[in-house]
Amino acid sequence: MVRSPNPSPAATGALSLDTTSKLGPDTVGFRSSGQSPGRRTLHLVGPGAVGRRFLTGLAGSPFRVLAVTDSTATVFDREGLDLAAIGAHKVAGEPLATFAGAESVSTELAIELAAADFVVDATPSRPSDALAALGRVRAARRGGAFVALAGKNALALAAPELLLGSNRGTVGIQATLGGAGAQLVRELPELRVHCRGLALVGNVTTTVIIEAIENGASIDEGIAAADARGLLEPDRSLDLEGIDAATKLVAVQGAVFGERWLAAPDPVRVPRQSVYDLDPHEVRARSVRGATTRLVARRLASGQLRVAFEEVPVGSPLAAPADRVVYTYDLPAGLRVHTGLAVGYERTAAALREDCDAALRHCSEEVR
Amino acid sequence: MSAALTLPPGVGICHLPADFSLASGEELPGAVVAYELDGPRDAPVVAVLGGISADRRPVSWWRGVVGRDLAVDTSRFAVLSIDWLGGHGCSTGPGPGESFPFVSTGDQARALRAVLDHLGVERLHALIGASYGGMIALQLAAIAPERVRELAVVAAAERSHPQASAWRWLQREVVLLAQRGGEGQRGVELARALAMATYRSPAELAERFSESSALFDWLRARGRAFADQVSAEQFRVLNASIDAHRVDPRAVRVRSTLVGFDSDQLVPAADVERVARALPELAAHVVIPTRYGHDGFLKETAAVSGVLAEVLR
Repeated sequence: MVRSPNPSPAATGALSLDTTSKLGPDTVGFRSSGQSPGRRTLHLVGPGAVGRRFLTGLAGSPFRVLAVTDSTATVFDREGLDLAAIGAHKVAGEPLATFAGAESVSTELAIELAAADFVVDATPSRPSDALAALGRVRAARRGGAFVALAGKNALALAAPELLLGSNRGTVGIQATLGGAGAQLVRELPELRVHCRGLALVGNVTTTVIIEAIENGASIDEGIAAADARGLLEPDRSLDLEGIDAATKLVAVQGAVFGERWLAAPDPVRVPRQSVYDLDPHEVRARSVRGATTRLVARRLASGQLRVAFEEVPVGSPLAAPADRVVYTYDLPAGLRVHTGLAVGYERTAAALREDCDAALRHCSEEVR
Repeated sequence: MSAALTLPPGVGICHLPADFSLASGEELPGAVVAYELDGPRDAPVVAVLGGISADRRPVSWWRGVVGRDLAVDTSRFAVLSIDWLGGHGCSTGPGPGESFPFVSTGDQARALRAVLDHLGVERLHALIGASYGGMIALQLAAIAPERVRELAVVAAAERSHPQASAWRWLQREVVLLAQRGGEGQRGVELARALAMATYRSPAELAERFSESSALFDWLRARGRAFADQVSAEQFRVLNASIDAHRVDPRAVRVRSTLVGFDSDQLVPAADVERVARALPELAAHVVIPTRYGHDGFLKETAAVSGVLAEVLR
């Protein structure tokens, strides 16, 4: 990972920050020289359900968290933050703006000023947040940071920018794609040359709903089952209206087929089906005859995108159980299959950590 | 553990349950087992398992035994087979240079059971295993006898013979040495050539090769063909699996037919006889005379077919 020179705070624009502020003009943030494989600095954006679990998992790790940002403020300490205190503050439902020493600056500015080696963006996916999400990644990349993403919207908007060219290897998407992101990044050069089409079962919520229906439940009972497992996005329409699946499809098709100069399709405008389009009777009939139903997001050979419930033979890789996601890529040699188990808060947090650890290993190998 | 999985058309995939852990205690998160089911849709299901170089298509590797109008008739039975975990097929296995957990024959049997669950097959009409596949067939019959109506084990016993283990240890060491020198596949070629020399009987090799050069050419060709298919990492996984095989035949409470070969150096006829004496529900124990040694199960197709036709009656 080659770090670009970090702009001084004065170069970021007309800022009038208190010079006693930890994030003020005289604060350039700790930056590793890149010569030592010792502790690396980390900035967490989004200390929600996933973010807090990510922080908990950092105990004993080589990462020093010097900044945490939520939608209201950033807490910063060059020597490292009291993560337990921050976690408790957020669990109590309090915004960081009420945490002692918090600075209410824009997230992008906070990222630039903190200038951490690693930026972990654990904010939940929101279509309305897509541009802001991309702005955060760009801010981190301007500072030469490695970025680990949990949300999908930045990737859906700008997959070629984030995964190719000068950014190749600097943005981790393992959590974004439910544990199947690292494989995509690794195989991207091959897929971009040979892939003719793709299909994914990327929304576990709908799989849980379908399995419940196959076992005799109604659609609403299926939704309740998914909710009880903590699988629904904060905005549940993203799952139930196929927007989550469409967003992943746009993200992956952008990575494999997209170009920087081509505008990404709007996931909301991809033809989609809602869970309420399911016919429980048909779902159960398929199950009886040895098939199943899945919400399949496809990019056809024609380039057309769609998200629809399909009958899937039981031996198909798309007949994924309700604890994983599957991404398939149509190659001349056959169907390439990527499976991800990073479902739910804990595993999503673990996937973010995987990305950071892999990037750290890569840095250490480069130094050697 | 992340070899790129590319599926040719027609391959079925069973996603192993998230709580599928290996006997060693290690896990294979996100692992899949590739299988093929070949035959009429509602026909009785017969599982056929082969050696370490076999795959999920027994019509290919067991010609003369499995296929339309043959003993294991794909027009009468739905023939099921799998690719081994850790092997060279489409099941989860090691990528180049990657380590992989130890996979026992019991683990392979549980993977097969997961495939049966996945397909909704409550009970196999028959489970037929040869060589490594025979070991796994014994394991499945021991852990889940209720899933098997009839068992046929060909050229396999309840444990590996020490002499066979010695040869396999040498093969593994050859591959390891070659890998350390950056020539893993060359190691696989040599290991396979060594293995081929043990698969056949001394009599057959003497009969077939009057000139050493022809023998060496044959060994070289067999080694290369194998190394073209199987990586060094995959070879070591399955080789180690065979050596660690242990099953108590007294736990195999399934009607069983055992087949051994009189000149088999890897699984001596005496070992097969020992298993036969211990099986609680032995239906038949057949020793087939052959000059082909362990490879008798591939070469003596008429004799093997005769036995299996009885099993499947």
